[in-house]
Amino acid sequence: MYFFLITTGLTVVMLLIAKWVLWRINGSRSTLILIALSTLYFLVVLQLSQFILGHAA
Amino acid sequence: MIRADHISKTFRLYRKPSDRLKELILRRNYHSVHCALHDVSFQITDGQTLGIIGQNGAGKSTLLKILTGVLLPDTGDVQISGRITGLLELGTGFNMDLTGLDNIRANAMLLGMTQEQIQARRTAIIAFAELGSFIEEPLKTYSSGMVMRLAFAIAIHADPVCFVVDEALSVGDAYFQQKCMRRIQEFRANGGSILFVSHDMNAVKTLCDEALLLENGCVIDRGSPKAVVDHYHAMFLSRSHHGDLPVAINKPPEVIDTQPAQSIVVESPLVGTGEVRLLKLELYNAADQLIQHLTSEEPLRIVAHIQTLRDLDQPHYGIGIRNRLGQSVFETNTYCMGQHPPALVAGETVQVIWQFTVNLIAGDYSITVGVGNRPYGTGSFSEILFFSHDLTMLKIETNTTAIRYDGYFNMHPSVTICTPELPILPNE
Amino acid sequence: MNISLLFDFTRQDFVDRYSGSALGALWAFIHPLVMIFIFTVIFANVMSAKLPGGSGGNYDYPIYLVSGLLPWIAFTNTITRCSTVFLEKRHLLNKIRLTLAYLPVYVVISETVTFAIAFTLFLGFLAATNQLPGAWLLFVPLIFILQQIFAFGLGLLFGVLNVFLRDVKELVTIVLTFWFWLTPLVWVPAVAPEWLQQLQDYINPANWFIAAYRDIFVHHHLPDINALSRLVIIAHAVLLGAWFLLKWLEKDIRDFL
Repeated sequence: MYFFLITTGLTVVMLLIAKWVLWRINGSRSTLILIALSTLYFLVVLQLSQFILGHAA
Repeated sequence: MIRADHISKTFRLYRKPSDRLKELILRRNYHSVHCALHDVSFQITDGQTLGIIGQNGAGKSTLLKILTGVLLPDTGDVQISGRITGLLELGTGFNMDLTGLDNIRANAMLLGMTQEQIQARRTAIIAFAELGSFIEEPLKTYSSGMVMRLAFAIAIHADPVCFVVDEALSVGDAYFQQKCMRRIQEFRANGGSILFVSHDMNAVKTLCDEALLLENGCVIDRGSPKAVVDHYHAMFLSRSHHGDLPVAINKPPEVIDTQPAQSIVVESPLVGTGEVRLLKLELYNAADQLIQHLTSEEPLRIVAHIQTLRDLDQPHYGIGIRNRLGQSVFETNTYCMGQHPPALVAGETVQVIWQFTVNLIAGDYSITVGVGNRPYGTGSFSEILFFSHDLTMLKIETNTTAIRYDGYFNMHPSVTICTPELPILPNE
Repeated sequence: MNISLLFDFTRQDFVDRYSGSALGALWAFIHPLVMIFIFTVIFANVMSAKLPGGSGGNYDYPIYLVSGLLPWIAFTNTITRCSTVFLEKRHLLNKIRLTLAYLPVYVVISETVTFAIAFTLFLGFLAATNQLPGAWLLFVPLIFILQQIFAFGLGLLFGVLNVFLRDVKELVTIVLTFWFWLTPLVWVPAVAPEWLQQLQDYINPANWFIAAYRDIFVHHHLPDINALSRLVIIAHAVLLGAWFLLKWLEKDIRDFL
C-alpha cells in the first residue's frame, strides 16, 4: 500500500516535471533532462520501496 | 515567411554505407564529396511566389528537402514560421490498404495536425477532393489522379505557411488542375507563400513574383521571372553549342527601357561566341518609316544588319516576337523555313529582312534575333553564334477597322450562318 | 512529432499486422494463450517437471518459464524491431520531418501493448490456479518500464548502426539467441556451475530484471533492489549513449535514407 502510494505520487510528479521540461525547453537539452529525470525517478522509487517494504517485511 | 540564410549542403558519397562506419573507426577518408548546394540564400515574404528553376540535378530537390526539414544543411539556417506542405508528400504517408477517409486522418497527422484540426477540416477535404463514394474505398482502387486529388486536398487544408507547387500537380486532369490553381491563388491572396518548382517556363513567368536559377547548387541568377527564365533558356542554347569558341552568357540589364532607340547596336548578346555582331536592328512600316509603334494588321519589316568575324559555311538567321510576359508569340528561323542562306566569309556584312503582317492583339512586344551555324535536327544548331532577347520594343495598337477579338492574334475567321434544308438531329 | 502521431503509428502497426486475417486482433490473444497452455499442460501435467528449490507445486516450473519468457519476448522483439525501424520508415523520413529519436518509441509502445495482453492472460491463469503473488504485483509495471527503457536504448543504438551496416540486423538476431540461452530463462540457475551463476549477477543485465520477475511470481518476495538499481544505471547509460550517437550521425542517417 505504501509502495503503491509512493510510486503513484512520484509518477505524477515526474510526469508534471516532464511535461514542463518538454514545454519550456526544446531540442536536445530537453531529451537530456528527461533521461536524467527518469534515472533519478527509478533510483528514488527503488530505494524508497526497499526502505519501506524491507522494514515492513 | 520563409528565410534561408547561406545554406550549403555537401553529400559525402560512399561506395557503400558501411564505409561511413569504417571512416569513424579508422579515421581515414572513404568518401568523395558532391556539393549539392552552395551558399543559397533567399526569402519569401507572405503572399509572395518564388519560382525555382534549374536543370535536373541543379539542387532543386535537395533545397526542398532542406526546407521541409528532411535533410539537414551543413551550414546555414532555415527559418520557417509554420509548416510547409505540397504535393511532394504525394502518396508517402498513404497506406494503399486503407480507405480514403482513414488516409486523410493518417496523412494529416503526419503533416503535424492535431486531432481537433483534422476533425474540423475533414468535410472540407472530402468536399475538395471530389472523390464521391470512392472516399470509402481502399486507396489501391484509386487512379493516380485520384490519389493526387486526395493528397492535394489534405496538403492545402493543413494550414501551411508555404505551399510547394511542383510537377506532381500535372498528374491531375485539366479540370482539377484548374481547381488547384484557383485554390492556390486563394491561398496566396490570404497571405500564404508559394514555392513554385517547375519546368514549365511560361507558368513561371506568369505566376511568380521572383525567380531563382540554380545551377550546380549555386544561385546563378535571381530577379524578375522573365529575366531569369531568359537566362535559363540562354544556358540551354549555350549547352547545345559545339563550336570551337566557347559561348558567353551575358545577363541582360534588369531595367527594360520603355522608350528604346530607333535602332540599336548590341555589343554583348545574351548568348554568343562574339564572332557575330548585330550592327543594327530596325523596324519599318509599309511607308518605309522607322517605327516603334504599329497598328495591328499592318505590314512590318524588320531589318537586321549582321556582321560575321569568321567564315560561316551554313549560317541561318532566326527571328522571334515575344509579348510583355516574355511568352513567345511567334518564332522561326531560315532553316525551319527551308531556306539556304549563302555562306559568309570573315568580315562580311549581311542584311536580313523579314516581312510580316502583324495581326497581333494590341500590346507591348519585343524582338528576338539569333544567328546559328550548321543546323541539324528539327531546328537546332551546332554553333550558337548570337542570340538575344528584347533587342527592341514594338508597341502594337488596336486596328479599329478589324474585328474585335481576344487571345494572342487575329486568325481572320470567316463565319457562315445558314438554314439547313433537312432538320439536323443532335449528336448522340 | 506529437503523442497522437505516436499512438497512431502504434495503432497502424496492429492494423497492419493483422490486416486481411479473419480473426484480426484476436491473434494477439491467441498466441500467448497457446504459449501458456503448452507450458502449463505439457510441463506440469505431461512431463511433470519440478523446480528445484520450489514450493513443490505442480505449476512451479510453468510459472517460472512463463514469467521469464513473456518479458523476454517483449524485450527482444522491441530490440529487433527498433533496429530496423529507420529503414522500414524511410519512405516517410524521406518526405516528412520526423524526429528520429522518437520514431522507435512506437515500437516500444506496440510491444508493451502486446505484452500487456499476454500478461493479463497469464494473471488470469495465476488467479485460476490460486497462485497470485499479491501486492508484489505492483512492482511489475516498474520493472517492465525499466526493461523497455533498456530495450529502447539498445534498439536505438542498433537502429542507428543498421542504417550504415545492414548486417547489424542479422547480428542482433544471433546475439539475442546467444543471450537467450546464456540467461536462465528455460534453465534454473541452480543447475549451472558456480562461476556462471556469479557472472549472471555481475554482467547480465537481462538476468537482473528476469530474476526480479521470478522473485515476484515464483518466490513471492521483494526483488533484489540493488540489481534493479544497477539496471536503472545501465539502461539509462545505454539510452544516453545511443542518443548521443544518433545526434552525432543524424545528418548522415538522413542523407543515407
